[in-house]
Amino acid sequence: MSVFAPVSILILAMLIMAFLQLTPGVFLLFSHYSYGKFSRKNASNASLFFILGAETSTALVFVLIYSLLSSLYVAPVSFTDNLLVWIIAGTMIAIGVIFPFCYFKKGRGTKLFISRRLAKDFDQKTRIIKTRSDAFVLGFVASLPELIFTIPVYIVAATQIMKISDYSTVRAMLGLCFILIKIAPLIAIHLTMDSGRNLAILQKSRVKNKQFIRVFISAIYLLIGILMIIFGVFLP
Amino acid sequence: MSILDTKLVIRDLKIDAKAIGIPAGAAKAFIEKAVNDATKSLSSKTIVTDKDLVRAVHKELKKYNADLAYVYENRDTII
Repeated sequence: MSVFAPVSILILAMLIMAFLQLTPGVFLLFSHYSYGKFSRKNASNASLFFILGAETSTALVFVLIYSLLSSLYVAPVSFTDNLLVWIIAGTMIAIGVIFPFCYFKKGRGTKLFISRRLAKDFDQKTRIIKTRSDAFVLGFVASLPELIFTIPVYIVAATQIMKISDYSTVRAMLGLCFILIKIAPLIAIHLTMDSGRNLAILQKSRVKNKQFIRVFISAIYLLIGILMIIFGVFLP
Repeated sequence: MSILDTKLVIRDLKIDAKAIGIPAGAAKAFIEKAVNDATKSLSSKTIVTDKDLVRAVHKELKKYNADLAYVYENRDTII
């Protein structure tokens, strides 16, 4: 099989990471309160530490999953191993099916799947954070509740990276790209808020695109599942 | 809920206003006026809930700054 299929699947996995909404949502609130409480410079610094925390968390989970998968297979993961493909693809398809119904809660705004108590805790934390280390920890923690949706994506990305190339440098570069894509929306929000736009404008745009995100991410999950079955089982 | 909890509301609104980029002086003046007007409009009610207060303050804030009113109304629906 050519390198085309794993590269396509990896790009789709990156898109999922870029479009998930929990970390950007928490970051949006955090930035808003930071700009409200601190000087622009301090708020900007705190935001960067939040982004660093989110990045660290993503990197750690990815490295952990990559290492686990590498240790399971001495050789690069063989995708002729149908059972593994069926399990991963089945999970992706299952998430794709349930995603539109459970990721966003019903009602106005962009209430996410997390419990209201946790959402309130995040809201409180974003208000009271004063130090950069707290911002780092909040960034680290903010992406963890989303692991239920991201762990299969991490697994898919790790297996596809192993499949694309045997060279460790290439793998490392692809892994880095995958990790960095998670913070792309955070950097976009940071730059947008730094340029003077506010929470109201960004939240209105999130609300406006809610349905699109719901359908788009669901479709990508389904597509990855289908592609993995096609290229892993029928056209290995 | 006590309708007299307006100090906290005003404090939060001032933070929101600064984040949105409203000058502090102007924000202080219209936020206090909006919250006072909102509490006045609720004074005839025997029971006032959080939602009533949010709705009333939002309605008053909208007269002065739509973005601040939007942020105040939607703060619980972002995540």
